[in-house]
Amino acid sequence: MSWYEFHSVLGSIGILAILALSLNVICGMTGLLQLGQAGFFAIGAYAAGLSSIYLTFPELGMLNFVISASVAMIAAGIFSIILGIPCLRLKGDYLAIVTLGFGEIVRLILINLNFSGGKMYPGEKIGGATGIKFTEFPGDIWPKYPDYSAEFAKWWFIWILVAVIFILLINIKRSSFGRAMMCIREDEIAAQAMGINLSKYKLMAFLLSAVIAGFAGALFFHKELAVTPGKFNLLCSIEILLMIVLGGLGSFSGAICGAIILGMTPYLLRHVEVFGYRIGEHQQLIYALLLIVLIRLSPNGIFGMNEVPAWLKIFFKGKKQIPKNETA
Amino acid sequence: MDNFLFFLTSGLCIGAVYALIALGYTLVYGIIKLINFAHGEFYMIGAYAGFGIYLVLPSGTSPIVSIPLIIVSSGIAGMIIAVLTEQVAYKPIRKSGRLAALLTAIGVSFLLQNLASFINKANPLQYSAESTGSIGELCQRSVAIGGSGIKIIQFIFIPVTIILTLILWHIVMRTKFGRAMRAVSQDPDAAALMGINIDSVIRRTFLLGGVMAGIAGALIGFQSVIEPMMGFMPGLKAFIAAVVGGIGSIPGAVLGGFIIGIIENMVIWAGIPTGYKDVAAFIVLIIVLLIRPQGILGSNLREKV
Repeated sequence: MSWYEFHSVLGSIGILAILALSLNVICGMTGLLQLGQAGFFAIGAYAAGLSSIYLTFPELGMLNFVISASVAMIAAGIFSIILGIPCLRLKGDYLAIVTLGFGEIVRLILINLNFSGGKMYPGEKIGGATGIKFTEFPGDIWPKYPDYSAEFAKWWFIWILVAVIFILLINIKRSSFGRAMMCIREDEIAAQAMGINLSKYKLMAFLLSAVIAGFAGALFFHKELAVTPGKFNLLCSIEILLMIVLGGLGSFSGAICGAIILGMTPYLLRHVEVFGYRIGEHQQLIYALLLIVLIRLSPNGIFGMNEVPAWLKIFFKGKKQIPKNETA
Repeated sequence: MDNFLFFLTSGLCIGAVYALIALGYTLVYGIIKLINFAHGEFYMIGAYAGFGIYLVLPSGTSPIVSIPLIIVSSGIAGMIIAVLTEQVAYKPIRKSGRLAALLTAIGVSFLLQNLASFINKANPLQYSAESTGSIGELCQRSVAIGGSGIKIIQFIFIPVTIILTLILWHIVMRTKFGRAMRAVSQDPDAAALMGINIDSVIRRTFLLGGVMAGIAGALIGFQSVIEPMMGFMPGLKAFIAAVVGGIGSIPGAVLGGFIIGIIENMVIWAGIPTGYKDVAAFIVLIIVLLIRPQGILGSNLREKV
């Protein structure tokens, strides 16, 4: 594995970690099963891609990323509110099906959607099944700025953002908003009886989750400089879900841990062969088996609901000092 | 716009297939409150099994013999895979809560899809239409209705669905096993106290659902290609059909299947690009869940604290 490839893998895992964090807000903390996170991821990536084509000012340099990421977050937020207001009244399995449908609808619409080339590629059609791609490097289009590259999302930049979002979410988890969300997860009727406005907090959690997923989409675009609708299929949503199940539903450090484990697995296993079949080519099969086995053997994941897993606390402090029912 | 009759017929025929799959969803959801995502894969495996029997049969077999044989063997294959899935994957986690069950169902669905992609290296299969009088040739024959050709094989979809629905209706409403099923769906604990073997009821419910999904797979296999991913979208649409009709209700599932089939064809008739066809079902689902969450024929259940 060359250094360049290694950095690319690190960056991809960072983006997966942000997605896992975002899904953990809605699935792990609020307890609403969301099977369409790839939809918000796709909206973010497309919004970032379109804004870099229509709204790029090469003289601003890094600020272009801020513009593009803000557009992505706003777009994902708007769609989450449009979807959330009617659908968050649904419960459990029905919500899962509707969000799954949303993810598929986004993908189907993106395949059928075409945009004009804007000021970057005048006269060309972009979009459709090939998606958005920088066919020429931005530095070649603006000869005045030969060093300008829209590839802002370097691996270290992504990981700094993972840390920032992680700290932000840990703080939200400890705030009254976070406690309200966890209360909704444990018992909706009890939460309502305690004066928690169900639809308000559900919508806020949904919005927060979608905005972070949209931001991950923007990072994805500025890392790859290309995006195709085929990436955002149901498997993408399930992969994210698998990460937080592996890490432990409700635990943000668990989500990052799950993303690292599942993100590294395909690269570690790509040269392994079983009965003449390359494991790397059957990633979906591995994921499916992993999902079934994980739920059967360890439904609480590695971290459980805590940020620091109970087994680690036992290891450092001994068993007696752990207070019961501790969260966060 | 003038080929309304074509899209209506086409919608009714595909609706019959959705109805067959939806019946399995509605039975399983009624009993253990699980969206069996793998149900679409039972349908896919039924289609593959039917094709396997077609390959085994001598090439000169008359379609009058081979078509019923394919349908029956697909039903048996669907039954075997459904019971196997229930015993291996769902039974051990039945007590672990809804989320665990739903995630397992998704896992099983992906697993079966990926295992099926080893068959013929995931290349689509189709009944060969080379010699006249063979199944493939018969399946490709079409008649003109409303300006466009409809394959004549599609006309057996509706009678097959009606016959199977009537048999299912008889089993659920008139037999002792059906009474046990309805009891378990109302209150599993009380049913267990009354001496009903819940495990056996759940197993046989999966069996019934699997048979119908397998037969639906055989029917679709006659008119289009067979591939590992073929079960995914019809599975989702059939679940939507079951919800639209009222989950847990047999007439509801059939009605929902026909509604979804007709609406998605009417969308094309109305001039919306074919690519958006699959979107229509989800929009119908959202509208129905908002207006009448229990479905068209479903009974209203209030949440108990």
